[in-house]
Amino acid sequence: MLIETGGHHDLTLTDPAYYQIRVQGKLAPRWMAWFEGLTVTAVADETILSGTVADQSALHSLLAKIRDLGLPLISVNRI
Amino acid sequence: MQTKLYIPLPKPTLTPRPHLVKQLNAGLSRRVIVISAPAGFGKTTLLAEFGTHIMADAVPAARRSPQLCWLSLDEFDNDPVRFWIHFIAALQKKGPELGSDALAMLQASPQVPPTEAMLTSLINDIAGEPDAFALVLDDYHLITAQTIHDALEFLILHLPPPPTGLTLIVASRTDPPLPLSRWRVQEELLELRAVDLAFSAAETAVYLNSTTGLTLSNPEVAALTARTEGWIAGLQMAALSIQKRSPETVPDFIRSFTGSHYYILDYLTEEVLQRQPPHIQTFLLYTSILKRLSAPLCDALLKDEGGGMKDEIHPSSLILHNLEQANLFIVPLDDERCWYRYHHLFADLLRTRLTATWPERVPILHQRASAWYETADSTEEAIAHAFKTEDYERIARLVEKYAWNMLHQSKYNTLFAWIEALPTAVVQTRPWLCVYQSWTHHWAGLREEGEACLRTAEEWLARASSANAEEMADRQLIAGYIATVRAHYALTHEEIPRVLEQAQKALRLLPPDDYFTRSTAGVALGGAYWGVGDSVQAEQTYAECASNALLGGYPYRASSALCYQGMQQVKQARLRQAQETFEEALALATGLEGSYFPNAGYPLAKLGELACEWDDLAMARQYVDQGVALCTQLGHVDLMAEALVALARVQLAQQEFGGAADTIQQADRLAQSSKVDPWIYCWMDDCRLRLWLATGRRDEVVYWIETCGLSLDDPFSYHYDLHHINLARALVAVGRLDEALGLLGRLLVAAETAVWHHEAIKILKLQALTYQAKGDDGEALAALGRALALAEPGGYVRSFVDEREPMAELLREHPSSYASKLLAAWGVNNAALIEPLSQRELEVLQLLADGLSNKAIAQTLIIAASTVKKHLKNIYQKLNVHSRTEAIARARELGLF
Repeated sequence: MLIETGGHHDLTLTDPAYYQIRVQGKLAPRWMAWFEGLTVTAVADETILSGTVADQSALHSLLAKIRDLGLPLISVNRI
Repeated sequence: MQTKLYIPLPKPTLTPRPHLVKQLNAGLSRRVIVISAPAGFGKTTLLAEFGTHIMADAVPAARRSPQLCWLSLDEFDNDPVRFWIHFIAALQKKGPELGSDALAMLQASPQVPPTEAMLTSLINDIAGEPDAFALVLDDYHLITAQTIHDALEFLILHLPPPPTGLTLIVASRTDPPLPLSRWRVQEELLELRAVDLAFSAAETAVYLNSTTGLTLSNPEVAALTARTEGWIAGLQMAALSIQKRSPETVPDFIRSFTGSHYYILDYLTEEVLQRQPPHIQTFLLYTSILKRLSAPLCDALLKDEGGGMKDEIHPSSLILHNLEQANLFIVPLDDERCWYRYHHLFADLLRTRLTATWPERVPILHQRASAWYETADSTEEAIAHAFKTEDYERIARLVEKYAWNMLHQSKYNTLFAWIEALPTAVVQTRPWLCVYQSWTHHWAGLREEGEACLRTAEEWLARASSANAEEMADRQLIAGYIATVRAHYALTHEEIPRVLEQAQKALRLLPPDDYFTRSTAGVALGGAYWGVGDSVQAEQTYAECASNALLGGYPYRASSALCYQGMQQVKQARLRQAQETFEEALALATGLEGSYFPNAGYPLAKLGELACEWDDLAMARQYVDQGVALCTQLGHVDLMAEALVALARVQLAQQEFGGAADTIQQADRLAQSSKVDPWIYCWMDDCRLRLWLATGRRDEVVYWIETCGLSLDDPFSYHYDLHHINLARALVAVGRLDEALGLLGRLLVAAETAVWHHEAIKILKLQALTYQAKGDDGEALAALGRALALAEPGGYVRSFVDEREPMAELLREHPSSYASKLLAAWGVNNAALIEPLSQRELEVLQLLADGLSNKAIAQTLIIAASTVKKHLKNIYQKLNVHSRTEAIARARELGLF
């Protein structure tokens, strides 16, 4: 997967894309499996989840998992 | 299912929240209460507390206390049929009869349920409840099916307004996709959100020091309050971590916890887990994959290969009991303590640890859970766990095993989602799955895709080598199914010879006790006999189809098969038998308390047409009006169009020409929007022509002849109900008499070959009128005589009266008692006929004399018990008696047997 750094092509609902999701609170690296293999990096009092998600519905189920743990969501960025 | 309806008992260690309970009680004056907050904010706990305090201080003493009903949702409830069955089961805790008709519709309908009709019935039942009550839908965020959201919105919109009715309480981690802002403005909504649910500083102090019995200093309480921000799950976990510590280590723990930036639960779960003995840790991690826990199920999961020693030392029943005592996020789901679940959030935390610690054991655990559920015959659970193992062969085997039940329970969505989720390569090696998939394609109108599935199944059958008797029987069954599906594909495409071939093949191959599929194949075969003009075979086929459907317990399907059977009897001009058949169909579409299911619309419309023919127009109108309303509710296009045609016929007889024109137009719009059954096109033209002729629109008739697409030399189509009779009528009307006579002669042969006496009467009648117009009274009377002979047994009236004065003239020249009776009907609407006992009534009477109970009579004749009652009522009336013994005595006197 080529990670684009700018000038994104238009994203469709079915495209895979690289996302970075920031949540409040530090998570241990063992949460990687829980978040479908996304890299889990704790920085200060936040956690950054990053990686390629298969499509938009995969992204939304990740967000639902964050919701289900009661983790406050700070930002969602497509990189 | 009962565990889903269980209201969790408030724990003795609960921190009471009277201000929230008070708000909830006040919210009962709204239609909806939404409790929307993330996991761990105590939604369920609050509602459990509310359950014991509902309206405690607001109910006038005179009124019965309202009740709280409860439904805990899970992801399987995204199948609408399952959702509504559970929804009604939950409401029935309030009144056992509540929604029973709606439930019958859901369970009986072989098609995807007619949701609006079902909801209307349910709403009426709810509206009948005298006092206020509430239903909790817990974990509503698990519902993602838009059809369920839409249906729920419909229900809420049509509920009777509080305070008497039902208040829905929706508890969810996300705002449900319902029109909340509109309801907010209209003050029909009470909302409790995270900010309302979070523990205040005072509540936190009460919780930590009174409820959990800790002795924390004020600064310690303040530090914990700040760190958890009133998040109850966090506080609970903190309390658990503190409870088992020696007092001197508590300050250190609180300092490091409140200073840490780790996700609270992550941090605390680690703490709590590490304080448990190893076997409890294993238990918690292993069983975290379960949605619900029971001791035997947990035992099955914990069983180590090669020995059960561990179980004996630590039986799961004891562990579960201890976990509940220790307040370890475990919630009992029944009073008997058979089923429990973890708090969802806690289960998530445990599962992360399980996946991180022993990833290789996860599929094994799911496999064990699936096997246990399979033994317990819990279909959805067994398959859901199986899907986590990626053991597709096993999943496929399970899906095959349960598919039949799923189809019978109308849980199509679930079944097809399973098949879709399997890899194509796996489906293709499983002929049964291919056959089921071909049905989906049929319903979606995808013939090519469906045929491809069937071909794959056939290739498999052809490849399969020698086999034992059981495998041979299975192969024969598959071949029977393939033929059934093909027959329906062909029927949709009007390939009549192929329908005959495939449906007959199916009935040859299918075992006699496969009532469901035999009736499925029978419907197609009946249609094919209709299409080739064999009304006797068609009648018999539909009759078999109806009795198969009844034997298999599918009253919905039996009712429609009976209607088709009755239509064949009408074709044979046996109107009295047809009436009995339609009445039986109606009885099968009638609920326990006499209310009609929406599928009653069809037999009602048919009964209306008969009453119209017998010139009982008031009764006819009542029937067809109800028929149109119910068919519209059902939303079935063919049936709606047929009911509208019936209405138009009655309107024409009542000389409401404006209304008839509107009705025909409505039917026409339906027929243009989607394909309807072929005979309906013929009937609509019949109505149109009669309307134009009655209102003097000869120009319309001329134009129709030019544009209708029918010509004198066409082959006739039985499937289109000998549409050319309409052309003959139009030709007579515009004076093209010789052409009409030629056409009518050929039509008569076609009708008589098919034993279509109903059509023969029409044709002979038109012949008589044509000869009359030509001045050939001899031929005219001969044709009329034949028509009357065919019509008299069925008591036809309207068919003759509708032809107005020319027909009256002819009848006057035909001296007979029937002709006099018909002439008497000119001007009179109600022909009171004294009826002899019908064939069916005689059969019932004979069985009565043999000493059979109503139930036994119903079983012997394969009819509904309510139909037997109706027959008895008619028999009593006709014989002028009031009891069974009197009836039998009177029948003997009359020499009836």
